[in-house]
Amino acid sequence: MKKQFKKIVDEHNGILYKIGRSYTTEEADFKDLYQEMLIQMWKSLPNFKGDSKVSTWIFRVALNTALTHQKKLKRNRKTSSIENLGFKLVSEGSAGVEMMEKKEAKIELLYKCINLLKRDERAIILLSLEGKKYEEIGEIIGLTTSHVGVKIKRIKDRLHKLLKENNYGRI
Amino acid sequence: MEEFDLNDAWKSGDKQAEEYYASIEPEVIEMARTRSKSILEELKRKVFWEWVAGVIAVGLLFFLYRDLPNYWVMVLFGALIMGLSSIPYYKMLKRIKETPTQNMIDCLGTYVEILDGFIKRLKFLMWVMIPIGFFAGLFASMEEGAKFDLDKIEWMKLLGLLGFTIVFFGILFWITFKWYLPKLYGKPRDEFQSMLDNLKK
Repeated sequence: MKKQFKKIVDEHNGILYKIGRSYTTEEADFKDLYQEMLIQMWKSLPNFKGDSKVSTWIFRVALNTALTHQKKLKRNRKTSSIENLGFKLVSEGSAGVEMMEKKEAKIELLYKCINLLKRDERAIILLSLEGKKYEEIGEIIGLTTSHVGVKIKRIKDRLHKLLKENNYGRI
Repeated sequence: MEEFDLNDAWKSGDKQAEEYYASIEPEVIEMARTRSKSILEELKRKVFWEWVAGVIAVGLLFFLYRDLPNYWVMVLFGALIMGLSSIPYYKMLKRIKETPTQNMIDCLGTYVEILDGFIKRLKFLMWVMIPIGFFAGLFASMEEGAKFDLDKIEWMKLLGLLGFTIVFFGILFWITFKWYLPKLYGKPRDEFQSMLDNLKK
């Protein structure tokens, strides 16, 4: 089981990281959530019978964990304004080139704005940004394909509005 | 102002993810095998310790009332209350275990059902079992062949005891229904319900 688990995490660690960043605003919270997703995956793996895609299974476990984990973090959070959000897990300017810094600034701003969405909206938008088809998003969330389409449109509009409000043009 | 390219920005997060994973990769298995700190796992642990506290309290009652004439009534009642209260605990733990791999709507729906059911059963146990327990205690303390004689009743003592009992159970019920249940189970239940409603909109 260890080998199978390690292989799954090796292949899908990117999505765990992105879910973690989308549901937390501080480094310590992020690390807690990342670990919690690993714990829940480890616990659920024996029950995974392969009746859905591995990625679908991972998204379900990780997103369900993120949704429930958030409440605990909220209790300890004193502020939630965008100025207080954000943390750097990668050393600043590590790429050493302007292009890379610009890209990092963009993704940091995107995480910050996603964090301002409702928790359920975050799940849908990150599945969409991961390039998941409407059918798979529906399977993970439990919605019909047409409903998924309507929701994605609505959430993307809200996200663009938040990005504008937070001056993405400065990047 | 050009439109922010969401997909391009999102993709650029891959590098950060890789760098982070490289820093934790050797410990991934150990990390996954540690004790969960999620709110639901904490709830499961609290429920378990509540049950243990219940067993201890019933055991203590058995010990305190061991000299009563109808002691067996207390034993029977204690066993009944523990048996009945164990069923919702067991069901709740079993269902929580099944939920992480459900789709998000089903998962949240199950949590709401679990918490609703748990709160209802706990209320039933308190409203029904405490009064039954009270009368069971009275019956257990009656001496065999004792006759009911109005003249021998110490009314002041009886009224005082009754007043104390009402105040005691009033405070116990108030704390349970107005503070303990809403804080521990009601709040997460409402948050799950709110997320569920938003998802279905």
